[in-house]
Amino acid sequence: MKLSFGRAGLTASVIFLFIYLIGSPGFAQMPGSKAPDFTLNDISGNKVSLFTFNGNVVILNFWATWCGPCKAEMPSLNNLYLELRNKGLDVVAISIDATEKPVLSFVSQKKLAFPVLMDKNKEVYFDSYAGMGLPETFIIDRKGILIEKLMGEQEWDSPKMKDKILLYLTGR
Amino acid sequence: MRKNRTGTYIFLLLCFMFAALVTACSDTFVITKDGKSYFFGSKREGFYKMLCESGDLQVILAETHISPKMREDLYKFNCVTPEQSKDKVSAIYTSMTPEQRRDLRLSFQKHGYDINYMAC
Repeated sequence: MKLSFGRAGLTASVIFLFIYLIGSPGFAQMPGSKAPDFTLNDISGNKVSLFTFNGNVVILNFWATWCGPCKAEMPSLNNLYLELRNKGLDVVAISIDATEKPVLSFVSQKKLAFPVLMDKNKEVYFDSYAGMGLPETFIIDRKGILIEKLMGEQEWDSPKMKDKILLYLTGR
Repeated sequence: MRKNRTGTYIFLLLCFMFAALVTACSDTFVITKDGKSYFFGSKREGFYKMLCESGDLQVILAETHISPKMREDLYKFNCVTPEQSKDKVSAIYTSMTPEQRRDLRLSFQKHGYDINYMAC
């Protein structure tokens, strides 16, 4: 079937772009605001606080094992972490799964190298970060300031994303 | 010619569907009960029946400690037909303090609702 990309197609594209742009996620917190601190248990039961990562750029990723796009982006997030951790990048993944078991299994299967924390009651995800969906990722600069919020699955190890994170690491 | 038009309409439909998917996580949050999920602030009939007609939202809000004005606005922008507005609900949600969001979440959970049990 030959697709006619005429006036209607163009209109559709314009509408699409408009909806995409007005629908782009904003910040629940104001841009430039301090990232809310928290303390959660990791999957081994150790307490981990956000402030312990101060001085590094932090990618704070909210996810769950029942979330397909979340699981899909994890290998690329791990690749990015392995490549840039020596330059001052930390990745902290926070699972909102109700139990540790599927999280442990996934982390082990994918050999995730970064810390994975549990937020079973969504206290950090919903209360502090006003979560609107999954996956949802915040980028925090070396001073602990929220600088970007990303909704949906990302290709973390793409050259474009790496360049962006490198800019954050060097302080732009 | 007919085929070409069909193609265009399909493209148009796909664009809307994709746009809806992309923006699906960007407005408020999703509440789920008995296998049914809706965005808080949705104008869908199912949402109205589940939260408004049942009286659930009134009880949920009444059991929080958020301000009477915020409670009234959240009810109005979700359940009062001429006033319904997802944008206004979103504005309230993003302006809430962590304590207020906690209060709202606990009240929803107490009444059998799950929050954001959905991928983008």
